Amino acid sequence: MGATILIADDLSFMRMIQKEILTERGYSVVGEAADGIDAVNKFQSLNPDLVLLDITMPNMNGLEAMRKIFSINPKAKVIMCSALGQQSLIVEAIRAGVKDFIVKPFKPERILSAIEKALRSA
Amino acid sequence: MSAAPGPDDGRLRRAFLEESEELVQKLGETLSALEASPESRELVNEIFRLTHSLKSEAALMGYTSLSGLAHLMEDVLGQIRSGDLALSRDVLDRLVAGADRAAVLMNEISQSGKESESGAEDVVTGLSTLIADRRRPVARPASNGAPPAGETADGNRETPFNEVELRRIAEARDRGESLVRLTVTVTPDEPMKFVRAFLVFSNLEQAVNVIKVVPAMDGAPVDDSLYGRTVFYLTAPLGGDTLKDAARVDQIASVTVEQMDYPSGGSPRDGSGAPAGTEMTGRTAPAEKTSIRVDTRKLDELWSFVAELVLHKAHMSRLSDGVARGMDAESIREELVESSDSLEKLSSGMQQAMRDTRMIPISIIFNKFPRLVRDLSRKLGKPVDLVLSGEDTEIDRSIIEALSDPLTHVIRNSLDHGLEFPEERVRLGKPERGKITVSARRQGGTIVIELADDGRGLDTDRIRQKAISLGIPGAAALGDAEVRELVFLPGFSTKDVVTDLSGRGVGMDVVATRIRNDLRGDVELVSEEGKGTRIILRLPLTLTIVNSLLVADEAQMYAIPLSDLDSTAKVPAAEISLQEGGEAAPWMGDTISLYSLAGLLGRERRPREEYFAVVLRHGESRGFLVVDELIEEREIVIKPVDDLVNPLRLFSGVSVLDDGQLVFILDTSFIRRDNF
Amino acid sequence: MMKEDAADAQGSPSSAQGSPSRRYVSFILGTGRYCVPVDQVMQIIRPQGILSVPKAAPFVPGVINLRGDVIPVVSLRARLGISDAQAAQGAGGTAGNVASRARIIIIRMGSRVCGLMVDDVREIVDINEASVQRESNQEPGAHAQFTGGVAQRDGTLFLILDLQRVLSAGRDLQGAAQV
Repeated sequence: MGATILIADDLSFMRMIQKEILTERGYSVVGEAADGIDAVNKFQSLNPDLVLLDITMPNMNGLEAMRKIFSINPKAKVIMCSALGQQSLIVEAIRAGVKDFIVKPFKPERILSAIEKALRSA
Repeated sequence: MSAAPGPDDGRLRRAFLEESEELVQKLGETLSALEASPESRELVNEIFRLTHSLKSEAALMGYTSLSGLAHLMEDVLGQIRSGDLALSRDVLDRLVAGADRAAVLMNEISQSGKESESGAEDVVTGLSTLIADRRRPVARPASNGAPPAGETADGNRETPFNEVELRRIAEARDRGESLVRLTVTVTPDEPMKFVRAFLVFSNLEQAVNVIKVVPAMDGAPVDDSLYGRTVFYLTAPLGGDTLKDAARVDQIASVTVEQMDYPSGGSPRDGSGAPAGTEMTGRTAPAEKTSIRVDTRKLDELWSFVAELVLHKAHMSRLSDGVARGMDAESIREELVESSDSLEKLSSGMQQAMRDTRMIPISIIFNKFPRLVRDLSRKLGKPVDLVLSGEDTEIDRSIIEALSDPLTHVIRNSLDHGLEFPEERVRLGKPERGKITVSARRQGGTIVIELADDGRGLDTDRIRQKAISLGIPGAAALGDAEVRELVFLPGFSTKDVVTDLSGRGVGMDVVATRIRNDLRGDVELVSEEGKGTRIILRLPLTLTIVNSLLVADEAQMYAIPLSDLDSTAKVPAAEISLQEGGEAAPWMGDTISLYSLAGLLGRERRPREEYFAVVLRHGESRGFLVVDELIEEREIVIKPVDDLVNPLRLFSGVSVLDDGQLVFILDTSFIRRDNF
Repeated sequence: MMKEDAADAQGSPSSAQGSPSRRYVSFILGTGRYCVPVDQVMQIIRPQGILSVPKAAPFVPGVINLRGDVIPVVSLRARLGISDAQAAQGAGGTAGNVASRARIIIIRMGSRVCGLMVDDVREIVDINEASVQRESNQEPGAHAQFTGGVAQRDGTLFLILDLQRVLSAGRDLQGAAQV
């Protein structure tokens, strides 16, 4: 199905690439956010099936944004994008409920398979 | 990494250049600012973000030198942030050199599309030595001293469990769960194996009972490479997708699920003899068995029904002998009526008994709550006592799935929004520890589940105001109870319901929908402001599960409840006659109406020599329904179907099969000539 | 009272005039721009996997399986009687066409959940209650029957859909279905 996805990353270039990869696969990118606050707002108003969240963003980092998103909807599907070496951050994110994480720089197959699996899970 | 992108990536390249050039420029500027005020944490963070972004973008476009350089700078800054490295003049100089070098590379890329691979060695060395000195030791022994799991996953190898674990396993066994060993391997080139395994662990913990993990996962992560292969020992009810879903994590190469024997002293295994071990990579499903545990008392009851059936059979055969011997019609009729009555009772008794074997105690769901409450209470900093009662109230297996989520959600809500923080509670004269009670009981033909907390309660006035402002007609005139009902409408945020600010209670209306639509139950809210909230769920005992016959028309399946069926039959085309009200055909010495499924659905029936049909039953009436194919009997869960889809009331509901197929359930009350 | 409360992202921010405004999701049908309240919108998806159901209402192309629930899909074009000849620019062809901008807006009205098929989904707008004209002297026909009001915002006319009427499965359906 054409699942709806919200992309949050402070780099417009990154967002563009992600959007292309996702749209080509038939997903529907319903929103883009450039910082944590925007991400939370857009999550509330758009209620996407899944959120791609970068962990380092201005105005509220990814971890906080993620917590807020989970307090809005505990069953939200969030995939975190992070850089190599932020292990403790990722562990925290997992504890908070993130579905999966992708290490940047990522290959398109990686992000797509992570999304697919996350969407299929309960 | 790939070489520089080709001409057809023009747009991407331009976007990359634009953004990266800006990044590099900002990098230089921020570094200058940092030189002027080296104590500024903000600037350090900003530079960290810049180098991080630059690294990612460059890597995506295949510029390894630039990306590597940015990565180094990011690492250095990371250490500065964490306090492991002091920001000395020397360190700053090296960073500035790095930024300069990045600018040069950026220039080259924008001019020629390529970066020079060499020329930056001293800059790179300058930066890398800064971190090399401080890199943490990587190898540390596993924390719990347990031996790592063996090489091959052979069936019943005993694993030492400690006393606590054995006790938990025994409790799980009594609940009817199976002991499972789940082995997970991470793809070899994944750099963060521990975290991948931890992700699976976290998913499992939320869904089932994890007894033991090897290597252990409590506390600090250790040698990452140890987690290339992680073994989870857990207990779970068999069947369903929970284990599959939990392991459905990116970069997990394979998952093996094996059902294990209970450790010494355990009861005989459920299901068949050999353990169900299967390889699962990515999509293919594991061969999880669908066997269940049944209370032997229920089996005894079923057995007594079978015994009665045997007696009944004997009676019938005596009766037929009697007929042969010339018994008079009146006596025959009497005996037959009596027989049919007792058969009626027998069959409904058996149905009920069978249904009972599907019932399991609600403790299956309740058992997840203590951990949930403990975790949340810890996370939020609100000490809470959870009181459960009525755990052995039995409910049908199929509702278990559907109930779990709404109940969990309500409890979360209580903890998140309902209960006050301990300081506030003390101030209000309440006990410091909050209290949540969950109870279940049977009341006649319904199950009543109550969840209560002694928190803030609902602020009815506030809800009313919100309703008025949302333009809900007549809001001002609503009584307190009705106002509380409004909470279930979409558009209400829990924030307005409880005097606290956080998030949108998107769940309450979903909970209500789940309970009302899926489970055909009811939800009620009772609350006293300042004292607490009580949510009462009422669910019918007999469910929307119907034993049906699946039939097909043109490759689309439909279901007919068995209770509406008399039998199946084959009708030769030659025997179909056209009567006044429609078609008819002979059956058991009578002529009854004949309908075709195709016709009901608005199509032409495909002509055949002999048709498959079912004999529908509605009270005393009988009628043929010709179909394309008779498939099989199946128990299906019926969900309601909107009137828009079903304006002619052809269907009484719809069911979603395990594979996602939709099957509409036919409403067979049309057996009347005029409806055709 | 309510006006003093801090507005949350999904609630009712007060306008300068002091009357509440609601947030709507706007979309295109033919040449018109319509909208529905954002708090009734659950999701927006691409038209895929619509299973046609025999003898459904004529403006219901079928149902979709949305996470286990069977949801009817209503073609708003068909329901409102907007002909294909009025196709707007940018609106694509059939649902199967990848370039199509058609979407299904999943809405919830009370306990009913439904999908509305539209030509294109646009932005979220705040519409002040006071600016909504109920008695519209707009073109008769589709609009009058299924819209609950009209509002102007930045030069664009937004027709507010009356979901109750759109989704009503009254007697008129029986007649229509048998056509």
